Amino acid sequence: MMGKIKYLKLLLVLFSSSVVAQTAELELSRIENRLDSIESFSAQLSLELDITFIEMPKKQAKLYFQKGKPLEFESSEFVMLPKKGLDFTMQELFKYPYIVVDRGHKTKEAQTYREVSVIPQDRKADFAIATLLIDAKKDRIIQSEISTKKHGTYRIDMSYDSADSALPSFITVSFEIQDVKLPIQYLSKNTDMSIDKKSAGKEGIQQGAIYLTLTDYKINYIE
Amino acid sequence: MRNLLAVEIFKLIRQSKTYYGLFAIFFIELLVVVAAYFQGNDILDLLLSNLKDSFYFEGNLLNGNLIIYLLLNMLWFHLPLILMILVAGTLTSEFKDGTLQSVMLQPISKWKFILSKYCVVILFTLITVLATAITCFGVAYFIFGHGDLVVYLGTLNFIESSLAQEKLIYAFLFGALSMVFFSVVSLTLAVILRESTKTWIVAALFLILNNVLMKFELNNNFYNHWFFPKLNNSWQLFFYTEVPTGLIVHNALVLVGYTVLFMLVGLMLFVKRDIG
Repeated sequence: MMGKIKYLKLLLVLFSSSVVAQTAELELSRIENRLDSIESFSAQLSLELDITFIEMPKKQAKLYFQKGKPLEFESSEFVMLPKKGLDFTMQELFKYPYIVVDRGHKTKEAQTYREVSVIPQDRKADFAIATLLIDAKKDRIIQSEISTKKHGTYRIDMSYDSADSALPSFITVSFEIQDVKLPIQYLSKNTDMSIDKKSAGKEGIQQGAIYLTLTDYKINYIE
Repeated sequence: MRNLLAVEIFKLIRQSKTYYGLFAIFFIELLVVVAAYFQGNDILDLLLSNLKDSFYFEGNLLNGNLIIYLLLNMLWFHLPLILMILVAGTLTSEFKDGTLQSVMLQPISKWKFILSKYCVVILFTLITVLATAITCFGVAYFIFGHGDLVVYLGTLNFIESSLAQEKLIYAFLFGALSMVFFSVVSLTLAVILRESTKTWIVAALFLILNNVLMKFELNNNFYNHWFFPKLNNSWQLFFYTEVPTGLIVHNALVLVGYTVLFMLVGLMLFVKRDIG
């Protein structure tokens, strides 16, 4: 009798974990389908850089997305746009078949979200693993931490201006970046040496962040 | 005094070497624009190479503002060199030709004569810097257009086009103060040495030493904030994100002080010493 109970308990545990994994997969699949339904969009982009060795004023650009094509930008001024973190529809993430690993729930800003890891099954994928925080109620991604094969790890935090928005209105991309190293002084003759000495000691990898604000979304969905 | 000034201006306008000097300045300016264009591409590649892996770049950084900035970096050696040669010549040629003795036979006070020379030299320097600035902006914007400026001052500073233009104008204004300083020094050297070749050699040596000392780093308050070689580089301060206005005003006032000091030394020596 005791042996039967143990067997039943084991079955129950296996069944429940399989159900949870299926739930996570289903939730992610809903988000994938929602993002996949976007055929194209355009938006007004405002960009701020927070990198210790770069001083840049707030920049504006117009952003154009067409499914299956790289993002296009239009600006009357010089802008630096991050190569990572602008994949709003997560095309790269869902490009190849993947495995979903449920990591339970995590609280962020007093809200509880499901945490899942996405592991691509194809070697051609740019990333090794992506950990996402997903809002299952509103079918959207809140945070992603992506470990790429060549360009290190970067984190994207997304917030949305309305409950039904599919695309984020405010994004923070955090990443590591190599400091600018110059063998001799270029473009300048420093007058204040305290500034030069400070920067000289900070060579190497630096932590950086980019703040993107997106407004005036015009989204076209697949009919 | 007014007549003296008019005569000095007339002499400066009439002598052919003034035009040779001005031609040399504008020729150098043109060469520097070409050099700045080629150097500009290399510098931008070097500056942005680390960022190319992480960022897309939209827009053109090799524009008129960058060309003017590079030009300023190079111009502040060539321009004072020619100015110093021209300015010294205005007095040494009078010593050499003996016209100074003839002038001094007239009822003219020596201090008024040399003061009018200093005034005309300062005016000539300011007009030359203004003409250089106008041609500089004109050529750079006409060929390369407007755009954001990137400079490296410990950090990579990206400056919006209109603000960059404003900063470049201020840099030229401060540069004008430096050029006046070098011109006044050159005339004072002419008062002391009297002979053209000697004055040119010493003036060139003064300029070279000034450039070497400007790049020489010493953690000393007097050296960095009160010694004239460091002050001449103050135009760079305009390109920081937060412009240290107080420091710029301080440096400008000290530089004006040095200029007046060199002028007073020249005046005093000219008045005390015999002509002939």
